[in-house]
Amino acid sequence: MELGLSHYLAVSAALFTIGVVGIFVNRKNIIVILMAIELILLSVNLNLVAFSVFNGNIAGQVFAMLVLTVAAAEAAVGLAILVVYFRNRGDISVENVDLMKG
Amino acid sequence: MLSDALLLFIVLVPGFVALTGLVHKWIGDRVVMAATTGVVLTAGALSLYQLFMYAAGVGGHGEEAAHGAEHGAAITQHIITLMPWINIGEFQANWAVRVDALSIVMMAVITGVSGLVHLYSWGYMSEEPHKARFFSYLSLFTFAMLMLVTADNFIQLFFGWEGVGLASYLLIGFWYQNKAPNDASIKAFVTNRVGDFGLALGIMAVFCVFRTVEFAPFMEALRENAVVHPIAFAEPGPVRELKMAFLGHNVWALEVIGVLLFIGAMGKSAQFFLHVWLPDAMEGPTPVSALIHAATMVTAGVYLVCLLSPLYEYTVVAAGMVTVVGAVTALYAATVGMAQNDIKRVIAYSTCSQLGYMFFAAGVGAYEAAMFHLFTHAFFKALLFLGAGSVIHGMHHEQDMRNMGGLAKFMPFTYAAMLIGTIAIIGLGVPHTKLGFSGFFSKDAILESAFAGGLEHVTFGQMAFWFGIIAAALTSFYSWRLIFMTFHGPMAEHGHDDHGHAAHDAHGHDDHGHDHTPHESPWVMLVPLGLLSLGAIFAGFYFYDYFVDHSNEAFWAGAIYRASENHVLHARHEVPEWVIYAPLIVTLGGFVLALMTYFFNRGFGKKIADSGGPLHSLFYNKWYFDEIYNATLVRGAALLGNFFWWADKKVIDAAGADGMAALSQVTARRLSAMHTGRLYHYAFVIIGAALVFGGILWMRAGGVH
Repeated sequence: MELGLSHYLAVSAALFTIGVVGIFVNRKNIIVILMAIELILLSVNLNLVAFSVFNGNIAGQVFAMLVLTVAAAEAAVGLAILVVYFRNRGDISVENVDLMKG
Repeated sequence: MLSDALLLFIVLVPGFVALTGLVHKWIGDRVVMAATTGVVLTAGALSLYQLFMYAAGVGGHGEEAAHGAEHGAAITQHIITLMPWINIGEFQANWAVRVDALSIVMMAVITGVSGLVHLYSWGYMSEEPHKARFFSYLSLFTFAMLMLVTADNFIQLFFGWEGVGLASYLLIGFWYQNKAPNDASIKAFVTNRVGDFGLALGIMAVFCVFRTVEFAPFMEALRENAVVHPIAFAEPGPVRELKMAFLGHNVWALEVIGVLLFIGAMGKSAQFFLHVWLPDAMEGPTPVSALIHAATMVTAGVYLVCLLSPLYEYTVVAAGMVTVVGAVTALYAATVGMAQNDIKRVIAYSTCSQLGYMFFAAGVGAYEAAMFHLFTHAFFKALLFLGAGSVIHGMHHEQDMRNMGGLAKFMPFTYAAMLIGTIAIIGLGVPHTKLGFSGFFSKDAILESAFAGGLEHVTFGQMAFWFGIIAAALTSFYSWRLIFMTFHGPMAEHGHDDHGHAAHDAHGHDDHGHDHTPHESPWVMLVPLGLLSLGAIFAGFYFYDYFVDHSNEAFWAGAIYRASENHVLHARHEVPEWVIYAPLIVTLGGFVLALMTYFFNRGFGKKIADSGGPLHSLFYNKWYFDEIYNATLVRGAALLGNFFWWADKKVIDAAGADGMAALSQVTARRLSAMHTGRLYHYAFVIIGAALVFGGILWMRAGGVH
């Protein structure tokens, strides 16, 4: 069986869906949300690389590298915020993070 | 004429020194007082010098008059253009100083009286804490009034007109801590707005018809009956035959303009229907009453009508209106003056009445006589007011004549001055001779002109004459009543404990350490009285020839225009003998009546007043004008205002500002409920939105091929 573009896209879509669902159904831990976001970003990266290869255009792979960098930075900042938040509130359960309530 | 520099000094420098009042905290009251008084007195001396020089230049009684100024002859006037002001296409107006016979006379009157009033105020206002403010207002007034009379276009005239209105408002309300002066100043301002509305409309009509607001081309067109090209409302045509659309009717354009401008004059000169503010204006300090509300500002309307003689010569309705309103005012104010007890109000109504004389003189076509009476009246009325001020000062702010009496021996000089003023205002003199006080010359000229006008079928001339004669009798009566009640008889037995006229309590005059016997005023107040007395005695005698007799055409030199069919001023010499003696007879009649009522039978006048007859009530209550205006206009305006206030709150605010605010508050409250604060809700919205927008983009790109 030849591995075609659609296989890559299917995996990517699955990853994306897992990420989105991870954000919604998770009620416990904010870290899980961060991980879910990483998953979404990875699915996007997979898309970019797959299209890059199949279109013979290097730009997609360059862009994937950029996304990785940003994702790393985002993870660092997100975790730092988490740590500070935990120090202040002593709790990082998603249920209780509702300071922005109107 | 004076050099340009001196003319500019007279007109402009009073305006500059008025500004010193702004910095009186740094330079002190004394400096402000000295600067304003010095400048205005100097200007007064220069203006009087100019008037005498000008009259002397006219010179010969006969020669020049004969060849001088036939109708439409060249006009002697000198215009200094200071700078352009408004320059929009045909709408052009300059700041200018126009010097001709009219403005020379007015400048002399304004600065002369103003200078003396400044001086007088040193004494009268000596206990006043706000001297600098007072003096700078006085100078401001002088400046505005000079701008008015030296304007060479309607716009500068309007500037001066409003300027004097402002100064009048500020000075009536000078004692702003008290209610009465505040109310009076507002009343004066509002009443004048009515008149000024007419004036403004008149100026707009002038521009609409003549396409200019400058006097020279405007009057030229009237004299020549030139073809004008109105901007709107009328077809081009010779100006005297021009009809224009006004309020849905096709009426003579000149009549419209004349009536509108006269409404402005009525307001400023306190003529019938718009007179109600003048008596109340007496709440202001007495020097103000003398300067603004007797000698100068209130004569601005007369000046306007005389200045616009080319206009009123070719109107019938407007000139008739001037005559009727003048005559009615002359009579009306005289009747009210008989029954008033406040010394200043008597003189205020007297002013109103004399202004009526001037107006009907102008209305019948004797503009020169009107200006002559304006001129002489300025002297004797300022004298009477300043004399009354001296009495009030000497009586420690007592104004009610019923509480006076026998003051002649306490203040002989004031008494003499008041006596001169009274003889001048009633116009005592010997007919056919040149023996008489100034009022004699001017008032008789007016009455004879009115009679002559009546003979020549000038509209309402006959009526004006009879009204004038009756008013002359009443003038004599109330003027002598004032003298007798104030200066003769026993001192009123009321003690002075209650003398605090409510309006002037703010002075705290009980602290100033005088004893309470009446006293003569200081010399700074007596010198102006003396000088004005000279004017009241001799002004008529000296200027009779120039203003209204042989030399009048050379004197006015075209500043006043008469149509070729207007012979009123000459015809007055041919009136029957009884007309010439009538004013003297009724004046003596009024004198005898006052003598019987208030001198020999003191208390008889009080008896009349106490019996409360209908006629006395009518006069005492000023024909119920204030009551009628209160019931109709004031209440009407209040009702209208309340309705709009209600509508504003209930409709405009409810639908507008308040409604919007409430709506956005409710919306915000509802929307804020959507903010649960839960992260996954936000994430859901974000992703949902991304999907929706992505979907839209995808569909727009063509969807599935």
